[in-house]
Amino acid sequence: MSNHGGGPGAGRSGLGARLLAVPLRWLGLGTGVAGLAASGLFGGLDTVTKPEVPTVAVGTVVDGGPWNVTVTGSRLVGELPKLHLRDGRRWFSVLATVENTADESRTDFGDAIRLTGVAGIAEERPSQVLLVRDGSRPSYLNPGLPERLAFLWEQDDSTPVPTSATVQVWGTTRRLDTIGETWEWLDPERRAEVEVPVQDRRAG
Amino acid sequence: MTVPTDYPDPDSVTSHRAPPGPGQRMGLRAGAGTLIVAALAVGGAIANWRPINGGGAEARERPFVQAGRFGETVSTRVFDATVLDVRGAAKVSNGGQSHDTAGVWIVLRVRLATRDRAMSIGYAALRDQRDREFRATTRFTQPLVGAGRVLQPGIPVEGDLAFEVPRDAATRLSAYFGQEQIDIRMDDLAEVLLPTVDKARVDEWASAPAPVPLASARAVAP
Repeated sequence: MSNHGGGPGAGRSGLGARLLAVPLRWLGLGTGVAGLAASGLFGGLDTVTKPEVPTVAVGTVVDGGPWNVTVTGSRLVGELPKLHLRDGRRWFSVLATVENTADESRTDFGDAIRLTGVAGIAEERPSQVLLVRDGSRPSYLNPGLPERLAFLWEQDDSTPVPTSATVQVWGTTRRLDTIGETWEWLDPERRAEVEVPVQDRRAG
Repeated sequence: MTVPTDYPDPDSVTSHRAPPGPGQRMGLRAGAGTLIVAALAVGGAIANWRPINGGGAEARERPFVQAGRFGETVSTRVFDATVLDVRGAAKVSNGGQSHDTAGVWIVLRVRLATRDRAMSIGYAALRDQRDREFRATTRFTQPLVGAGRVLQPGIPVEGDLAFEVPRDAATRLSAYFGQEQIDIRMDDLAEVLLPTVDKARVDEWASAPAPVPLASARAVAP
């Protein structure tokens, strides 16, 4: 007589058999819930607050990485030599002293300053960056040579003249790029905000 | 009848292996899962292995540098470079306009020649003792660097190249020239160690009021 049954009601029993009988969808859902619960035990479900960005005074050096940035002021200006300004527009400029703290010539100094919440300006990043020294548009800034730069945005001339503006200083972190396996300045983030008074210099 | 040895008599089989029960099947699955997790962990460890502080790609893809002395011709695979003279200045003049600097201008008189095919020199830079790189200035057009000047084989071109460097970097510099403008990985570079200059000489350069005129590029006899 065989001891292996096959008739109705002769199925497997026990915890293992019950687990095997659970549909895969329910098994996945259960695993997910268990994972969330475990994550919650270690603080994974806690509310995360956005890191506060410090507000610094005009003239304060901000370590942006790879730039030391010192915002010194803001001005409205009209036409500038060698730059095309569309009709009904004016230049909104932010003046800052920028020093390249990396060990190579860098082209990304235009990313160091951004502007938000200013009426009549659509883009956060400047459209032009000029060297105040001679009005040239350099492709590179060299290490150890601080330069006074004018970051320029085109602003709708019909908007009221602002009395002040919030300027953001952005920076990056030097780390190993996991794809290219090279050391790069990555992970852009706001490092500070500066409330700058705006001077209207169009008449002068 | 003789039974072949490859086909033993079923009656002679002494035991059977029973099919795995539910517990065994769970164990097999758990074992397979454990092996997969272990394989992922080993793979992750290998993928994240960074020998000697990482950045191995920079060493693997470094440029091929041909070094030479000041005044001598340095030959790379595709071009020759010679630094003929070094000057310093507080200001340089180019196209009738004078340009000052936050540091000091270093002006090199350079001769460049391509051997087999037309090409441009995209990369010209100085490096100091701290291995900081200072690219040729882009505040004004420099005809020897970039796509503006195409060198023709067998026709050397001479001209001035201007660089801005901090004063403390100007005493000991090396010049580098290459074909690629942006990505110099695995490119041919010519390296020339420039003569050492003392700090007093640098200060003298940086305080001279008269701008140094930059010579434009011109073809010279081979």
